[in-house]
Amino acid sequence: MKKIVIDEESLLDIFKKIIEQKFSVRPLFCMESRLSRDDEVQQGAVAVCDRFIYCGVKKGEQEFEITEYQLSKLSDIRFNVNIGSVSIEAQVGGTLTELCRSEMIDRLRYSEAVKWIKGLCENTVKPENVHFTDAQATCPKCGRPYRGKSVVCNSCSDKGTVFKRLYKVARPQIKLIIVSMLLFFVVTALQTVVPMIQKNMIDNYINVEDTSAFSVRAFFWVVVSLAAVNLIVVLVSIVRNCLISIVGARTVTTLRSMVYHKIQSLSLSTVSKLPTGDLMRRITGDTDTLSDFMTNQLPRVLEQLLTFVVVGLVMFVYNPLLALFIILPTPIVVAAFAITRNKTRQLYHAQWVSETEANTVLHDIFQGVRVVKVFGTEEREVKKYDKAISKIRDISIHNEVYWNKIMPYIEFLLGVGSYIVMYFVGTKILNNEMTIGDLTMYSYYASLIYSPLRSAANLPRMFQRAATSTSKIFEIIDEQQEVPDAEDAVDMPIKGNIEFRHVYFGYNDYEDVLKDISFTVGPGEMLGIVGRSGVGKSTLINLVMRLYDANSGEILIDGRNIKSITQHSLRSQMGVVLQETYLFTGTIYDNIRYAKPEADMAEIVAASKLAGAHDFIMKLPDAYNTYVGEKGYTLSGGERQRLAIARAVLSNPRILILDEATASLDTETESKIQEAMKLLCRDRTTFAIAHRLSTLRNATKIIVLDHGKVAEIGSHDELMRNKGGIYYNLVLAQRQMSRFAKTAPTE
Amino acid sequence: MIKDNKISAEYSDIESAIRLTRLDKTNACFALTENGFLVLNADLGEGRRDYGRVKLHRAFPFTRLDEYISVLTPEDEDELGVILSLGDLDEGSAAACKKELERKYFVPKLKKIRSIKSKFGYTYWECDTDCGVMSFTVADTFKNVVKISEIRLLVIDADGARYEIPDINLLDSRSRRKLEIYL
Repeated sequence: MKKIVIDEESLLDIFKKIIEQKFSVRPLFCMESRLSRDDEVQQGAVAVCDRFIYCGVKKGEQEFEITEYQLSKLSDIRFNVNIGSVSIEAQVGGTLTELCRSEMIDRLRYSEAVKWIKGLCENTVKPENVHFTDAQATCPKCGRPYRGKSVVCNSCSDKGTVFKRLYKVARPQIKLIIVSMLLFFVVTALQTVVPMIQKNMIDNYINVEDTSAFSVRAFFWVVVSLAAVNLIVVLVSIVRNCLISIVGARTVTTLRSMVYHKIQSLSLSTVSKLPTGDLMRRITGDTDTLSDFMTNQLPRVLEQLLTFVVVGLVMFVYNPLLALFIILPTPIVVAAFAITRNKTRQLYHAQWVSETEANTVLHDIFQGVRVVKVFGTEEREVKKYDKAISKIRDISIHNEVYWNKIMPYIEFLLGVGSYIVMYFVGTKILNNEMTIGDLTMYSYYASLIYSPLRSAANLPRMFQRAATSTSKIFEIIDEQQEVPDAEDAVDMPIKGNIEFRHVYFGYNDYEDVLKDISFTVGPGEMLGIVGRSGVGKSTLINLVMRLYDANSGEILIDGRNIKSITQHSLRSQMGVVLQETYLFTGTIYDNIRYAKPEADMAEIVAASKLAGAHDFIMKLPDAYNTYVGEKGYTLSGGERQRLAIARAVLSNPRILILDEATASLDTETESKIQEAMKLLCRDRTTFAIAHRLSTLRNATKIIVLDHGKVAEIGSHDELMRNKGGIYYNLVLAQRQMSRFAKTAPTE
Repeated sequence: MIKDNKISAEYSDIESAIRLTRLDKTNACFALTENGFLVLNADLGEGRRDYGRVKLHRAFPFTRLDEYISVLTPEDEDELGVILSLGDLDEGSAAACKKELERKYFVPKLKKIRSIKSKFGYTYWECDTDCGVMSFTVADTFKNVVKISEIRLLVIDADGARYEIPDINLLDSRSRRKLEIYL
């Protein structure tokens, strides 16, 4: 499944050996170079040694064409990403050269290799300290992507098949399962008995020539017994079905809860990698599929399987030859069904796709109705929709025609059993070897055997779907926590001294967003973070909140590594106001109280006043009991922000994080809050990101990020003295903007 | 100004706002270094000078392969100018740019699909491509098999590598059948 797995090992092994022989040096690490400079697929390899790099291309059995590069002549080594390939470039004796190139599968290795090579060239890394993790983003065995930064393939590790694990989840209810299995047997056995009673009824009562010994009473009891059996079947079925539903529902609920709990405990990085729709689908959709499988489909399959086996046995006992004749054609019937099933599945899939497309068009038109109206493109949209539904029409017609042409033949096949029985038994009847009762009995058995075949063809697909859903659910459950607490992590009260030491971080597996970040900030101080959009300001904040762990470098809190404090303890001492305020469904009171559920009214009102929210809340008819959130009162951006500030402040945090906290507020409200902010930030360590530099008026220190690095750091005055610096230019530009606004013409 | 319902970049009054520094044979010359890197010598308003190594990026990688190619600085990838069409350049420059584009974009074309095995939502493909036999894994198959046009398909694998089917109709019927479920 993966590109040349077996060759991969021997290719690098061969290359390593050749390098050792030819150049008498052991490579520190090796990688493949699967592409040539011109994007031609090749068998190439790269060996990095302590003073040289050897790039080779396989030309013969043990022959490589090797290019040698001396590390001391290399500079400006770069990891380069193209579309579909990655490469390593460097200045070799002053000339730009591409050292090696490979496919995307090697991107992690190449990115890591560049770091090591750079270190060796700049003498910041000693050869004996080089330790190449040979990381790859996808599992070499099954080709599936690793989740996050883990290097353990969840799917390959021996955890037993999906169904075994499912069984483990259902195990607590083993008693119920056993009972329902027994009831299955009972029902099937009883169903098999019915035709025998019928035979008795027909042979001994209805079809009797000599009616003299006819006893109405005896006949009555025969009919009663028939009714009784049927009644018992019904009753037992009810009990059995209830039991199955209970088992199924409990299992699914357990799974749903396991998934939800896991998602909550997972770190932000993992969760944000999966889109909300996907997560929701797994919790509800996949568990629904599984539920349906366990309570509906699986029992039915079992029932039919059992029927087939039991009836088959009974028939064999009665008349082995006839049984053989009936069972023999079954594989052909199953095959016929399987073929048509495949074809119909494709047809219905095509139909499903076209319907989804039409729905998407419709959805777009409705969502974007404003855009459509404004641009006057109604006619174009209508045409688009017409096209989509014509496609549905054509496909539906095609499907239905096919269905109507083929299905009758298939249904006919189902009746094959009865023809066989008719002929076989019929001839025997004519020879007086069998009775009419036998005929009805065998016909009934034949139909009992043939009906499960319809669904037998469906089986593989049904199991596949259930397996897929189950594995998706277990994928989440198996997810390792990416930002785990160290084993000896403790809950610790924080004073608020935060230090970043040479921190590097990237969301991506091969690009660092933040590079070499170092700074300190203590209680009572505010660190302003400034820089272009997308430079990494929010990323830095995410690291302070330990939503992600740094790739290298250290983050210290009160002199201790941030990892030595439990995440729970850390975050409970932080207050955060983010760019997007999310209000949960509930009242204003509930939302503010979210940070500290045990807070009393006085605290909440105090926090609210401090945040400048009290005034607008009191103007609302329901004041603090106003229902906000999805179906509630829609607050303006500024109002939401102030609620968020109140929420953050309520828990009296040691570390306060403000990510564009006052962005949606007008300058007047902002300056009002600024006053409150001064009080808010006293004795706390505050991180503030702002585009509007006036917000950072109170900042003790300002850090300017540029291209992921710390470009400038200092107080406002210090930075302003650096005329021509980034901060200086930003401030001037903003002042110009406000001057422009002041002199804007009025009506 | 708006002329014939089109805004003309050359005559508009708001030229400065929508300025595209257009690179053609009159003001730019591309060449490949000995090691195959693209270098630019051009006059972008400050006199003719060497800009050293530059990178290229297609604005419309699916629909317009040889038009609207952005010329970027190597480090920050800031746009120096745009080649509106490779035909605007002199032969040597056009050839150099073409070569650089070939090196930048590696998208094997699938000629035949030998098998697509599906397991737990991931699909494992084995195909004949114009670069030889390739096998790859696709996660979230329905999302990563993208229809660029009615006949053109793009497949993105779990590593981010891309594969293209220029015309689905030209595939043999067996390959098409294997593919159809994911269209």
